[in-house]
Amino acid sequence: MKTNYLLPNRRRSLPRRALLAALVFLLLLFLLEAFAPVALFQIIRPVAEPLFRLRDILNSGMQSVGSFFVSKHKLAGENLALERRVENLESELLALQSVAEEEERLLAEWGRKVTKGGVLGRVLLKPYQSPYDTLLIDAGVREGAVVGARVVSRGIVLGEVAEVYTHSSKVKLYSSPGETLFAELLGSGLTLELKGKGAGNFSASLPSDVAVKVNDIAVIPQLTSLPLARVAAVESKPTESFKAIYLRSPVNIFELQWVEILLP
Amino acid sequence: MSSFWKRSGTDILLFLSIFLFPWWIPLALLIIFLFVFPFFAELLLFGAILDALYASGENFLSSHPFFIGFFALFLVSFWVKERVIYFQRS
Repeated sequence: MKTNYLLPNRRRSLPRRALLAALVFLLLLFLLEAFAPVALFQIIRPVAEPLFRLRDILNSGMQSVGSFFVSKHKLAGENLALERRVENLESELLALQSVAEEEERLLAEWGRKVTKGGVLGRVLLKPYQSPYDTLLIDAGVREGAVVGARVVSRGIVLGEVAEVYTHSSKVKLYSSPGETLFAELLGSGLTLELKGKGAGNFSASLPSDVAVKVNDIAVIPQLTSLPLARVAAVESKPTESFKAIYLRSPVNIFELQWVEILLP
Repeated sequence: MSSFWKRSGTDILLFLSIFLFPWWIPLALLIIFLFVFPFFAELLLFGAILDALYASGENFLSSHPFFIGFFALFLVSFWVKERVIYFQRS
């Protein structure tokens, strides 16, 4: 007789070889972690790097195929929007240059010296490819990277080096969900406790009567402060004593190609 | 095609997908193949590779989220396969 249900006595416990295989893997990984924590990464790195470069080539090829089908009208609109954006950025740059000159003059007056040094790193993995708001870059111990060194892109601070290998490093972005850090609002000097929200976004909470406006810049305070994010939105309700502030990094982390590791 | 070549081809495809595609594509493929093959222990190795590439943390649990997740899935898959009639027939 044909049955279309399972007989109760056919149920078996977990196969022994499955449990054994899983436990052997777990033990091996524990041992590897204890005695050679970066060994697995070092083994796969020679294979990974050429494949990452191949992926980048394939991605850029796909983009150029896509751009062939974009209409002229759309391109003209984009061009106009970009021209306006360049104009805005040029005026912002001018303002920043004057601030930088003023800062340099003040530092010289007070006898403080700023040492600038960094290591350039090619981004091998970035968010959407990696799940935890981490970057994998091709600069490691040999290139001078150290754990805790700040990582910037075009002057905007993004995160810190979390792990270093011989020729690679993992960077944990400050915007990783669950990360918290203290930043300062440029101008007012107000300290904010920023919470990472992923993909270059942050949130903070402040008393309702504190003045914060959109486009205010949050920096990591030090001798020459590092810009981190810009206030994108402020949400306040008359009935609540705190307001929510949402900040966004000006750097698009999904399009990152190069970063600089600031040497301490 | 013999089962050996099928299995090897799948492993190579999965290995390449880890490096060529965003993380969620190999993750989805690995979970599918876990139920396609009766004993897909490679899943644990791929989990360790994904952790080596993406995860960073201070302790074993936070630095191996993929491996731990796959470890649990690997064991649970046998329980599921025993109880779902589709796997009994195949």
